[in-house]
Amino acid sequence: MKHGMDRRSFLNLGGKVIIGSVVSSTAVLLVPNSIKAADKGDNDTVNWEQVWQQQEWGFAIDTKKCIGCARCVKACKEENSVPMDEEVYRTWVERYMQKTNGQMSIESPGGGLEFTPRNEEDVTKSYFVPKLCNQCNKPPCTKVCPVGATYKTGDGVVLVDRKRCVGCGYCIQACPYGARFLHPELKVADKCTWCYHRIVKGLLPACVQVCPTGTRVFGNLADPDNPVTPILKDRIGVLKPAMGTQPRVFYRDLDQGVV
Amino acid sequence: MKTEKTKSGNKLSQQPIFRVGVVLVLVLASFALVQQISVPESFGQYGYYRGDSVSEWADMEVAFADESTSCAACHTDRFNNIKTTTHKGLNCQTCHGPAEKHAKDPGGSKPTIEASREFCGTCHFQVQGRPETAVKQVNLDHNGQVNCVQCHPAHAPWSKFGGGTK
Repeated sequence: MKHGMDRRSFLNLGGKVIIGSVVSSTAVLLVPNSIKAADKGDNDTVNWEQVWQQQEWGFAIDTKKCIGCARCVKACKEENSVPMDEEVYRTWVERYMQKTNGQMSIESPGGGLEFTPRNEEDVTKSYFVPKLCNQCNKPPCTKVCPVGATYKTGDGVVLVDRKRCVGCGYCIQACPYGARFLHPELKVADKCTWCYHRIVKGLLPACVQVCPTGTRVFGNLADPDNPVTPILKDRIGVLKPAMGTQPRVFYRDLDQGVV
Repeated sequence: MKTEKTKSGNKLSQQPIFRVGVVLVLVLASFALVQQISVPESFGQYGYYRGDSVSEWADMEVAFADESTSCAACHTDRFNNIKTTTHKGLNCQTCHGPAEKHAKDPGGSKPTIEASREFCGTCHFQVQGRPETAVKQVNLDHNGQVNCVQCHPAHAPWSKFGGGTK
């Protein structure tokens, strides 16, 4: 006989080997993660739940102060490594122009970096509106992610897990504010994080820091001395309230024509 | 003889239910194995996401420095002086760009210095929609093509017009 064993005993042995390896490796892997972490002596990791209890971030925009200089747009790209030459923006500035014929024109050339210095004709009313992620209380973007790559932190910021995102773009479609885009280099969904890496270090978001007119105001609502709460007292609006997303960027003196 | 035969036929390992049970256990074990391998360790720590992702965001490096600690530490006079002028609301990096690298390595990385009319005009040219109350504005041909900073030094715009440091 050519073979050392017949088919029956070969399959029998093979089956036992497979069963044994699956069961034993599963048993090892089923040890709870908390025990594994304790074994590693991993004590230097941050407990974010404790950190989040101390803070709730708030963002306000005083629309009457915006001069459309777009220093925020430039600073945002520099701070967050968004390619400067690509038509993608974590924050951008829109210009609304009410024409004499009743039409409203909305534009954001170069995200607001390329407004030309001239006065338009036939304009009865015009103003700038800075836009960014609203970090909604009920974010539609996090619900549609098929791999659990985007989520809301306990202190109110929606983040994207870049290691887990597969770049399918569902969240980009789901956002009613157009605040998400596919990062041209990383090929993952990207969006404004309110500069999460800055605010947890006690710094302001880059756009707030460079704003020359104080249009953008940011603070920790849990801190009684924060600069946001006084602004929230009156004349406050949010974008697309009817969407039910409960946006958390608050606009002061927001014109009714803004969408 | 008859009873013995029945007994051996009743051996658990020879009954169909045993094989079904083995298959079931195998399927469950494989599922658990695949789940353990494919779901990251910190997934579910705070919610339906990878908990380590929060620290990965928080640990990213900043590009814009804190001016009151970084810029003011060396450029103290200039920093204190500009806070008495009409440009007091500006951050150093509003005009000079991100400076965290410069703060860490002053000789190796230099912030930008822009002094062109167009750069000043980013805020000060008349643009449709720019509110007059928010910022001083000039039209494009204000004083020909002379650079703004010749008459209005950026760190004290009105100092040459009797404005002192203002």
